[in-house]
Amino acid sequence: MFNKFDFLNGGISSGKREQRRRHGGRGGPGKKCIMRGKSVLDIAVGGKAKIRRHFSCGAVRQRLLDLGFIPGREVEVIRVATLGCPLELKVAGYCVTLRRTEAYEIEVEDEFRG
Amino acid sequence: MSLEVNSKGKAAKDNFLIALAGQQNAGKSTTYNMLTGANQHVANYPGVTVDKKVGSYREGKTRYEIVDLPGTYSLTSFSLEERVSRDFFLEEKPDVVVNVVDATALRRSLYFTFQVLEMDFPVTIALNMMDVAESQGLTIDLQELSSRLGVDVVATVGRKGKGKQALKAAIRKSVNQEAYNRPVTIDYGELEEHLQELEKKLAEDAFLGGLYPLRWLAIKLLENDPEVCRLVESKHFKGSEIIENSISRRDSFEEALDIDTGDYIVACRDRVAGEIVDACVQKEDSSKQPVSERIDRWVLNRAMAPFFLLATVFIIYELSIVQGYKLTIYTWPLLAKFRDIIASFLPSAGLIEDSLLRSMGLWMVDSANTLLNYVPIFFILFALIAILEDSGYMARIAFILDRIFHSFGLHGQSTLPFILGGVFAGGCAVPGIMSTKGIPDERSRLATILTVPFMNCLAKIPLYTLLVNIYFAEHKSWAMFFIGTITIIMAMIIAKVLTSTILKGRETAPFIMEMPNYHAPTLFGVAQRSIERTWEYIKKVGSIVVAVSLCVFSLLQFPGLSEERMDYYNAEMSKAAAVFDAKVSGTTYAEVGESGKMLALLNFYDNYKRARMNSSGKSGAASVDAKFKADNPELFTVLKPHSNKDAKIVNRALRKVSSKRKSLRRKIKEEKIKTSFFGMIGRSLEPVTQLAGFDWKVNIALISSFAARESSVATMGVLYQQGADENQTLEQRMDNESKSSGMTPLHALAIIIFFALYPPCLAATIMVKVQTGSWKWMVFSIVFPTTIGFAAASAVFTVGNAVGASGIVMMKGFYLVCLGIAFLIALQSKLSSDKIATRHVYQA
Repeated sequence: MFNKFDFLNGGISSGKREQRRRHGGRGGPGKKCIMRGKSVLDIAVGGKAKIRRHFSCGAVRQRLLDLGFIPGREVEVIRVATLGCPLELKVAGYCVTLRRTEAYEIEVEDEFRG
Repeated sequence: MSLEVNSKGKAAKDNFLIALAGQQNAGKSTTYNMLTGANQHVANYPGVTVDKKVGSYREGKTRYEIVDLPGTYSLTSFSLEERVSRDFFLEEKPDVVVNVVDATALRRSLYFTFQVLEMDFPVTIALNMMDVAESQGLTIDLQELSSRLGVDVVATVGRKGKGKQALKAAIRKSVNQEAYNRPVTIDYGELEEHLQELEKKLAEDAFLGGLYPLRWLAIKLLENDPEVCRLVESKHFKGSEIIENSISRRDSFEEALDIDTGDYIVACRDRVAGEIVDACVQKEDSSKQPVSERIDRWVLNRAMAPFFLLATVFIIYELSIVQGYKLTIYTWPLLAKFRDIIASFLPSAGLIEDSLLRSMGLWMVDSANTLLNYVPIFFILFALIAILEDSGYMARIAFILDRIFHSFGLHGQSTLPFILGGVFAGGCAVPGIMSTKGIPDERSRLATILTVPFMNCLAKIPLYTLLVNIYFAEHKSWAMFFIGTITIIMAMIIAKVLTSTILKGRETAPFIMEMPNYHAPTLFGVAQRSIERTWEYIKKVGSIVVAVSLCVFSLLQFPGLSEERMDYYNAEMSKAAAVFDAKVSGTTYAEVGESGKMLALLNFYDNYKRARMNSSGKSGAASVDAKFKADNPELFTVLKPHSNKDAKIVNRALRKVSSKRKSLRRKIKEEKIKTSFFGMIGRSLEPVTQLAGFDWKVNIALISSFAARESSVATMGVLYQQGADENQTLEQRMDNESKSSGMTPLHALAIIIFFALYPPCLAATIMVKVQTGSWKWMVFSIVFPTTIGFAAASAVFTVGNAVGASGIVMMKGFYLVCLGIAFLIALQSKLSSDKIATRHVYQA
């Protein structure tokens, strides 16, 4: 688990979380969502997991969907950059990089080794 | 309804508008080049800074105008590129949309295709990169794909120009079709009922239906696309009612299925795309890992990546700056020749003062030449950058460095502009600013544009070297290290300040980037791009710099010397001429003593000397000799007297009078600058600038360096002139003069710091205007760094003076302070990014 031993990025570990999700950006706090499970950050390098849902909104969500991060798809963590920040993921045969803050918003099911 | 719109008047048309659209890295540009050949030009979309490439080709009498739209993954309104593409579709209504699709990423590419089809455009698909697909063991059934999508599909290999005729034929077919087949319609399942209801409501206003396809509007309303909502609200008579309705439909749908509508729509598209791909694509089973992944295992290895990156940057620096600079040895004579040609057309030089036309003409040629001198460097630089971009390594550089840049509010893709701007030493802000085009994040892009000019551009180096040689001679390497790294540290700090203050409200984009596969760049592609960009540099910079150098010239030239002073100089010159006359009178060359003839001889002599200086080798010198001899054999004997006694005497007298003339001209120039408008400005600024320890001479040098950096040293050269007889270098002269005026290393440090933060030169500010599309930012890019630079320089100077610290001590102190601030910012950003990611953790 790369992030657990990562001195540069310590302090992030998934657990039970909740967040308020704004729907489509129309004012107001939106509705409360259910507890969060594991995020992409909890997959070890080389590990795979199935995407369950997105917590991001707006442009980020749209871009992720466009790039094939569709619920139900399998995502694999290929590598982490030298300073631990952007991650390289593989989804539907393409490699995509994203930052930890965005990766955190993708909820996945339990990890399995590929 | 839209069928009628599309078929209306087609038979009579002989000019068709074709939009080229597709996802990033799908090979749109190569397809575009393939179709249009050389017949293209680049403009900007109105109001935004996105490139608009327009080209055309002809088939008989019919002209096909092709617009290359920016690469987008979909047609929502989240990013500038997407809005530009979509607005183009909606406003211009192209006759055909050619959708360039990456054959190796068919499934994902189809999402885009579906969106274009939903907008009811006749679509032709160019299935690009077929060679790559084949090498990956993919077989694609084009017939099946075509019939399932209901549009024409043409296989192409854009890089090799394959499929060009077939694509043109398909375009011809679809523009001439009376009506095209209704292509695939995506079934949105549970959402269909809502869609149809909305469509019915929208149809109540026939006006809107004439403009846009209703089903598309309905889908966008359910996606809650802000632009479409605004459109419907303003153009439909029941606009707000429909919006309310669509929101309640969204909510009830999401409540019932517990899924986001946007996700659901994409999932539906994905399902259809999956079915199509399953039916049309056969994949040979191979367990072999793709080449790109095997390379990346080394190149992007967590431990090794920085070394590969450093090696790459070093190679770029070495090849373009170091080797390119060597190339200028060969190109400079060409520019010098150009200057001579212009000079020969201008009125010839006066005795001690040139005519306005001549001095102005030469001034402009000189200004242009200093910039054209960099062309070889840029050409190599642009070629290397094109190779990096085409090969796919550029994206990987962004991947490696994003963490650092992001801490300071920049973006991984800011790397390239900084490299071009000259991270270490030598570069140019103009291509640096030009290359910010690729940064998707508006906020980071602006911050990058505004901080790139802080880098050490090639033209800043002479002044640094000069000051370091005089004032920091014992600490040369440390001083150069200071200059090389302080600029990047300060640029980072300022980027952070800008992005967290005035740029805070700007649109930002996440760092979500597809990692492209490695491609071998083609010679043609690289050459074309580097020629294109170099030409752009020459054009944009050339025209503007010449115009502004004119202004600077006037400011330096006027109001000019008083008559009294001119009389004085004329008298001095007459004295020298009289001496010449006396010496010459006894010889057979007596008649050259007449005033008009003496001038001709002097100019002949100067031209000869310059020609000899520009010639190279023995044969070059010989040909110059032959040319001047042919021009005027009589005068030539004076230049090369050999054993002719009289000629020798004249030659000696000529040398004397020529050196006197030169020294007088130099004095006049110096006095002119002192009394010029620029001189007045320099003097009037002295009370303020003395806070930083600048005297009026430095002021003028710094101000004039705005036109072009090189002039800082050139102006200093003129100002610290002590008469041509003393054969001293500029270093020695400045040293002498400054010792008497009390310049210390502390003064020099203040100048260095100010110069490092000094606003971009004229060419770069123009580039700021071009890239930001606003005069406001251009003015800001001048005012802001001046203020910051002056504040920093004054602070260092004042503190240094107050505590009595020497220049080198203050240099170390300043460095540590900046480094400390940068570290704090990085630390703070790390902490806050951790906080974002842990914001939602329950405290158990």
